[in-house]
Amino acid sequence: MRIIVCMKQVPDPEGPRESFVVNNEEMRVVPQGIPPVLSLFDENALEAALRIKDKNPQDVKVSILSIGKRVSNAVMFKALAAGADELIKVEDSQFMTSRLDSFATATILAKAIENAGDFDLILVGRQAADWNAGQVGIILSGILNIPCVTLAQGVDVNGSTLTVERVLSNGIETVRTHLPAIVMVSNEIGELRYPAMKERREAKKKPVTEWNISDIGLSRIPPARIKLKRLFTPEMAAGNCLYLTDTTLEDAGRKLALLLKADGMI
Amino acid sequence: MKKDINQLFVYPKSWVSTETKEIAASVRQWANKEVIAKRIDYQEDYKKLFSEARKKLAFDIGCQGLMLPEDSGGFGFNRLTDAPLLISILKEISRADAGIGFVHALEYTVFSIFAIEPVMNPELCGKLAPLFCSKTLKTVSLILPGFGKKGIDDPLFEGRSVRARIQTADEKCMLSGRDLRPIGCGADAALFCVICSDANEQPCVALVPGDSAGITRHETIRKTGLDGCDNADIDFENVQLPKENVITRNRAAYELYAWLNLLLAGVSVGACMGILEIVSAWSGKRIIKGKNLLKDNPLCAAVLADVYEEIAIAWLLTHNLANSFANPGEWGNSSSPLIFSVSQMLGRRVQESAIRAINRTMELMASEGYATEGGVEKMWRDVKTIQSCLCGPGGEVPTKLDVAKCIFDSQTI
Amino acid sequence: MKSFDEFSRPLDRISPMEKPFRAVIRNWVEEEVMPYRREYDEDWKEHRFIEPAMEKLCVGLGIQKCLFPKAFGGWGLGESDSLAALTYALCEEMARGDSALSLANLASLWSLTTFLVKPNINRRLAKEIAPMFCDTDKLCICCQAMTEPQGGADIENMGLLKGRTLRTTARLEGDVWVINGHKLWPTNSGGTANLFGVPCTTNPGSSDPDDFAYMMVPAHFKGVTQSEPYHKAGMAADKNGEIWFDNVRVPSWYRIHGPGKDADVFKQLISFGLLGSVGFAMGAMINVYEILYDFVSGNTYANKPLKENDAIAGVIGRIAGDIDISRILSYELVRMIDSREKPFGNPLSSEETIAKARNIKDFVSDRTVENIGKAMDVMGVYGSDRIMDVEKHYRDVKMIQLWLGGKQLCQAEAARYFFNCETL
Repeated sequence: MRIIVCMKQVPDPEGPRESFVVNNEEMRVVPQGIPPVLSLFDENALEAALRIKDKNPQDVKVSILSIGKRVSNAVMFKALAAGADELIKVEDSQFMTSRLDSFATATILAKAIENAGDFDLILVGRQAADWNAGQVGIILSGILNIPCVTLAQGVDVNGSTLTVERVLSNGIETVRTHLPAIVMVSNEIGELRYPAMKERREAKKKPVTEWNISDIGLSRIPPARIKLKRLFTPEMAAGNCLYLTDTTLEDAGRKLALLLKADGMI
Repeated sequence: MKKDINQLFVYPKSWVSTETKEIAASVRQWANKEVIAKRIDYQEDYKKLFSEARKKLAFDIGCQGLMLPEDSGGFGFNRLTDAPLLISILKEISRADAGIGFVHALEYTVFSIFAIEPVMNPELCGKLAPLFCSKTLKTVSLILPGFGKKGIDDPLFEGRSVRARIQTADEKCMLSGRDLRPIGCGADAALFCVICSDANEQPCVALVPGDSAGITRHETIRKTGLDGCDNADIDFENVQLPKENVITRNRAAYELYAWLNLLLAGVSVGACMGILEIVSAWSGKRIIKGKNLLKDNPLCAAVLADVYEEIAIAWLLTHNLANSFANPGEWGNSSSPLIFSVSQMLGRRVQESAIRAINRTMELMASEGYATEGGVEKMWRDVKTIQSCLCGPGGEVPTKLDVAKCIFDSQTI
Repeated sequence: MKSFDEFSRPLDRISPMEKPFRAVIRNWVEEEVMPYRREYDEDWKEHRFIEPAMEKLCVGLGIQKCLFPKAFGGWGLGESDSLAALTYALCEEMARGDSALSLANLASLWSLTTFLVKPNINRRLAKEIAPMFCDTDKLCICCQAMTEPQGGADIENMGLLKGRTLRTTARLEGDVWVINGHKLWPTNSGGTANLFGVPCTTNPGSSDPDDFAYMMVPAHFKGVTQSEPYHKAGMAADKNGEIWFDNVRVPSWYRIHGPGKDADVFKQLISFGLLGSVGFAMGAMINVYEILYDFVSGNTYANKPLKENDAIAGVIGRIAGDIDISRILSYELVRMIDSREKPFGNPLSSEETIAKARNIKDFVSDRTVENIGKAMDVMGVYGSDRIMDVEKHYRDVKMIQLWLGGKQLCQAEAARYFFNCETL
């Protein structure tokens, strides 16, 4: 069985807020001094894959697929050290100048997956930790014409049957489908395991395949279907604090209510 | 903290390899998730949670048995060039909890004299590795020469009384000594490392499995800090050891001191990194004089700068020492008189800087620094305990005299 | 071994009462504190052992009534010319055994000084409060509830802020003050106190001294709530927690003096707090000296007692020197306070007295933290062992350095006075 986990490299979302500089003209977010990391939901997806592999380590192969203008081996190394078997990177200079929207990303991933050979299951995070669009998995399933299950908190494979527990706002839903399929994994499945020292050493020997877009049969990046109209930093409301000087709770409450009403808040 | 703590210390980047950074990042992830996020819970049930957190660190990541050769079942970080890696790991552990860092520092110190190349002893590694490559938590205790008692003439190691004796007959050795005070972990150690004197009153190092017959552990000692490490005085009563468990290599005891100073420096620097994050967050929220942020008051800002300065100096000294260990061709190996002296000097200086940084932090944070909830006072108690343990009889004096002997050829001190 | 009484004291001018007074307290310390102080260290939450010991001191020996006028059943110490000397002796002797016990005791007396010590005696209030402390066989504890959540050391910084940041309010309704506010961290809170001394404002945001009010608030009055105590590094006998005053109504004469004078008396209070602080610090240092003396005499380096090694002698000699100098300074602070009413003295609320008192507290507490830390190092692996008792002092005395506005406020007050700083 082969599982492909699509993983994205993003600026560390835990980085200081001041380090994310918005370039209004180019409509880009320029992270300054923030190390890249694996997108957290993609880590959850990898953990789901590794749990399937844990049950049958000899027969399950986990491949990592990542695209980007420069995919860092150091960042992806964590995925290999955690237990993935190989890394496939699609890097291309065209990624430097073109914006990849969800459709373009899914198209490139689909081509890369076809190029990578047979697969049984594709796992992706429920959304990326930078743009949070949450669409790539669904579009990818449309392109590959396979079922897609979203918001997974548990993934189990039995023969060619896939059972997925989904997190809903009012409870848990269990669905069943057939392989091959795509599952979009949510954080409820649990965090990616710690890469152990031994696997860390072995990870250095694992195969890394590097492609550009012509290697996967594309001549150019598919045009974006979403046009970004404006990107800007929202203005922070001034943090003026007004102290109510009345000395009883009743008086203070009455005055607060009047002020909120005057501001149109209530 | 608004800034990435990795970007705050200026040093030659070649000092820290990519592999070291990756492993340190992994340990940091553990620290954030398993310890820092649960600090309040720790106050309720430290022992239980501590044990759970330690297991993840020891087994999931692999910090127990890290320095044992791969052939013996360890993870093979047993080259001198791994010294910067070891302190990076200890820093990241201790950023969250210096007690856990201390336990690992003792383990790595003891392994340094028989597991690390070029002094690696495959036979000894093969014998002792099973203790540490299993899936149960193990600790190592270190007994150094120390105080003597008035009226008793002991064999001396650089002025310190060596109160454990080893006798050798045929292929067996016999270890004896009473009321010996380990640096730590005496109450539960799976392995004791004891600097003892032989028949010629020369120092040698005995490795004693914790289940050997003839070992008596006294009551657990209540102490200032390092709650994760239970210590107790030890009696050895004719404890029999195979000959290979006694390391008679010239200056092995000096190596132990050098490594201990380096690795405990890593622990205290790590604790200070945690302090820096805490005080940075706190000073960015605290309002004084009714309107100003504390960090924007010049007097307080100057204190904050002092805190950073002490930590940055300690950071640099520690990494500098680690790199001298990693490159023995440059200044000599850890047993050389110069490295022995310098490691003690820098080790002491790092502890001083660390305790000063924490003291100054507490000055600013006042009662919030003193309350258990703030997380600072635990670091303060832990680092002070390390500092005192690292001192010989009479505080800083023995280490200063060691330096004077090496640098100024002082003969009779 | 030398007696710690040999550390310098101005024998020519100490009160004749001091010697017998010290002897009584020392006896109590030997019997009630020294054998049990490790248990006290663990007793931070319940005070199961601490409270009976305090009761023997405060009720049995009568310390809790010492400040009250004789006419109301007290000792009349508030009217004594040697109040500071005896207070210092009490703090030092007690802190030799346990600085937290000493703190808990002094903090109880501290708030009472605002209306029981000359020239600020309020006889009506003294008579009203006296039965709680004097005519009883029960321990009665007072708490000076000063610090507020938002302000840190701002309340103590009266020289600059003049109470402007106070948020605890007092509103007069007929002949009743209505108090609302939230205080945290004072000594003897966390459920211990029977009576609170509460700095408030009658006009929030004002720095007019007339708007500063100091109220005595019995803990059992409706609207007073106390939290559980905090857990902290040391100082177990001193419970600290939060206190909420929710429309607490106290008689109008529970305001200690009135507009203007409350602010002045509150400034005087700071000096008494500083005096206690140096007493705690000195007591702890003196006990560490006693322990260290035995340790360096019986343990060896290079097969000679530690104290016989020239280099180690240099370290312990410096420790002894610092203790001696600190004691000299402490008695200078005693002199300053006891001469407050004399022609050659200064009022306690004067900038000069406050600056100099803070200097002494800053210097002595620094030396204390430094030297007890050094003593732990001299004792090596035994320094952090609780059985040696030095480490308990180490954990306890750090707090002395931090309270009452900490080091930075001490430095600011000194600069303000000696360099005429105008905006600090």
